[in-house]
This record gives sequence, structure tokens and C-alpha cells, in this order.
Amino acid sequence: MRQTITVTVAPDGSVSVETAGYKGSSCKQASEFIEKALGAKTGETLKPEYYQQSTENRLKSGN
Amino acid sequence: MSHVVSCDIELNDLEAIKAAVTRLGGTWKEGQKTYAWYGRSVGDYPLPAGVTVDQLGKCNHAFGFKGASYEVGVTRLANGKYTLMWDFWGSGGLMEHMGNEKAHKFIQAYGVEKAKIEARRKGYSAQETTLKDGSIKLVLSKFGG
Repeated sequence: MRQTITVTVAPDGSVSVETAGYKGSSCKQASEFIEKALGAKTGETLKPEYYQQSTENRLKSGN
Repeated sequence: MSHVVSCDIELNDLEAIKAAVTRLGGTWKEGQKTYAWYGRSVGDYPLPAGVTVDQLGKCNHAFGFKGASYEVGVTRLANGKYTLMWDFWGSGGLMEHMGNEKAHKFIQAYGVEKAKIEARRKGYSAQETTLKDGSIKLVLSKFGG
């Protein structure tokens, strides 16, 4: 899957940063530079894939 | 794996502020220490955070727009961030360029330019589209990464 970071800046100046296609927790690292550059984080939502992937990782590593 | 993060834009990069001015068709006035405005506070609106009455009319840089008699001052605060000083009184001509009293049009332009600058630094290419609701979307991707 292609790795992308989507940054949407609304007319009221609010920003959302969305990552897609990253493996493991690297999605957070991938977008962190944009978040830090733009300003103060006001909220975070982990999409369903985050938890699914986490479960798969746990199963694979036998934990 | 995916996640969505929301954040409030802070003006912390002079390069991106300049890029936002250019994006909106304004003229940057490097090192101009005053900006044109009404000339005195009538006290009907609170001052920007970190700014005192004595600082009104003074700035580190300024910018203006064709047809607007008033200008916007860019002031560096003690915490290293920047704030915009401007008088949005109608006849000053700035409102249409800045969007509203909170300068949302400018803040949006800054956010887009700042994200593009940071993306370039990290080797991402940016594809920009404007959505129906006026939001600006940037899709950042890295080839071979």
C-alpha cells in the first residue's frame, strides 16, 4: 500500500493530519513532523486499522 | 496503520508567513517596524495574547495588499512565536484578504505553506487540491520510500 500523509487545512484554520499505508506505529512517526511544525495537538483518533494491525503483530510475535 | 490528528496552527516560522503573504497576493515588507492602522486602540476588542497597548503600531516586519490602506504587522513574541497585529476596520481594506477578524484565511494559507515547506525538507512531494467546503488538502507522498 502506498504511504501517504494527508493534511487538510479548513477555512477556519483547523488542521487534520491523516496517515495511511504505514506499518506498525511508524504512522505516528511519519506524521509527527507535520504536527510539530504546525502547532499544538488538540486531539487524536486511531482508525480501526491501528488496532487490527496491533493484534496481528501480537499474534505474530507470539505474545 | 492509520491515525488522524487534529491541531491548532501556531505562527512559528517566518519563511511560511512570507509564503502565505505571497499566496494571498500580498506584498512583504521586510524589516518594516510600523504598520498602518487607525492609530489608537478604542478598546473594543482584546489585544492579541502576549501584546501590550504600547506595542500597538509597532512590529518586526509588515505586509500589505493592493488597494488596502492599512497594513498587517508581524511581531515576534517573547516565546519565539509570531502574532499578527492589524486593524480590521472596514475602510482599512484588510478584511477581504485576511478572511475575518481572526484572520482565518491567512491562517489557512500559512498552514498549507508551512506543511509544504516541512514536507519538502523531509523529501515528500505534495499534491494540493481545494475541496468544496473551502478546505485545502495536501497529499504528501514519498517515492521509493
